[in-house]
Amino acid sequence: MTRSIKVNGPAAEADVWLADEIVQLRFKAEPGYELSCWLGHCRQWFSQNFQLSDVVPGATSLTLMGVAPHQLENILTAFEHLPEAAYKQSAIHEIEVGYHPNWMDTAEVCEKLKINFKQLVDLHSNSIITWHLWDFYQALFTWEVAILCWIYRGKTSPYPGFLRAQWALHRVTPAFTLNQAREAGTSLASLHRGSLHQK
Amino acid sequence: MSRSYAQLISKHSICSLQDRGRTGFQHCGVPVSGPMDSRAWELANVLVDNNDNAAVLETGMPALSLRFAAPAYLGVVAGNDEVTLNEQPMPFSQIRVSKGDVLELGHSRHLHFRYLAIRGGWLGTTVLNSRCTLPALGLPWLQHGAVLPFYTCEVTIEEGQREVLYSPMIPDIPVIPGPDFHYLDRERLQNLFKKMTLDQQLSRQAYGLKEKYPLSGYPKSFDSVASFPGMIQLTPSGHFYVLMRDAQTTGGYLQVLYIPSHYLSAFSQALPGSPVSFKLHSDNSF
Repeated sequence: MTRSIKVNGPAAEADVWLADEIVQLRFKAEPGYELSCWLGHCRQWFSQNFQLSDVVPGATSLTLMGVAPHQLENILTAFEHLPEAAYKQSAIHEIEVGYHPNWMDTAEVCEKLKINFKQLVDLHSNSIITWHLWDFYQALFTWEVAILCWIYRGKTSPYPGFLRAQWALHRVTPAFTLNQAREAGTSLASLHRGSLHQK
Repeated sequence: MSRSYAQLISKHSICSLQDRGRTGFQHCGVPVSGPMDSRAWELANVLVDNNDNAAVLETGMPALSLRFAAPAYLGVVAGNDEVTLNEQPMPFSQIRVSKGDVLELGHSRHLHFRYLAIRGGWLGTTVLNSRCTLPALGLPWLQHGAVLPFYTCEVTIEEGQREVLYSPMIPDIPVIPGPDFHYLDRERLQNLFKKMTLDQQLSRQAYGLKEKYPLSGYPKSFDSVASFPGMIQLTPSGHFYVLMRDAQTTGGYLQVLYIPSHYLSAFSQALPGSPVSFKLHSDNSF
């Protein structure tokens, strides 16, 4: 049920837990920028190369859903031979984007950031977001202004390859409005990376 | 094929539509949802020959009343003696209703979740490829006055009306070690799990257990990790929470045990405040 595997990446080793069709890898590494980039890369790579229902990164973990029994060994072996993460091959740029957590509604977030909902989902799925809090009150709803640095790569890639959101997801996704969610329902299927860059 | 509807006329019931679930969006923070008791949900659909992803009405323990604006053919999975049609006891699980009929499911005494399927499936807004109710996606809980559309169909006298008994409970819910199981004292846990009690307040997100298991060595910080239905989390205060279908998709508590999906359905039917027992398996070969 639990075993260790070797990994070709920032973490050299991982503990593997599996049950039903879920495989969770806990990487033996400290959370950080490089690991987070790499996990985002893994999410993309495994989603593209295996028929999985979802791949969910954590701070130092990766959870693969819908792993058929015959895929298991191939997936674990793949971790030993992962290609070099694409983010290492290109320059990294930073953009500062203002974000106020009290906006609460994705429509407002989109408006402030001048992007549409599809692009927002793309960002949250594939970008690293670094938060700097100016202030934090005791009650959760009294957060003050935060600054996001969305780090992306350019030049050598036809798309910016926004890396992965770590925990910002919680703040935005519960506030989907019906129309936005409808839009997502139709657009996510054709979602491709880099839409923000293309805009 | 024309559309008609049924209206929810009971005042205190809160229910939801559930199909197989909203898979593929957990990385975006969207819960997988789906029926709490997938076996009962499947049975309800089988009773009316629906496809395997038709939306079914899921209701909790309070009484539920529906008035139908057109004839329909229903599959009901509920406790014995809980169903009436126009105030007359209805012993069958397959039920023909006519225009103006009122179907009522009385307060549940046996099952936490009851299921009402309609031939062709309930129609509801599809969001992210699913009709599962989730207020955060703009699909609110169904309450008094809610209108549930469906496609009308021919219902003939030849259609069966029969009784199906459904009893999901099993004496010991099997659990397997979770990714953070090594934090636990196995022997102490085994004794604890022989007799536990569910909280009075249970939700589609999580079931809490009253018994506590405070850990002296609980980690001071813990990296957030994906969470999913069936996982049993242990909080720093020693509370166990079993994540259910609408569970959050990431979390920062220890994931100490896991209820395999096949048994999560049976567990979900336990009534609030009722005793439950778990049986620890060392591997997941069952």
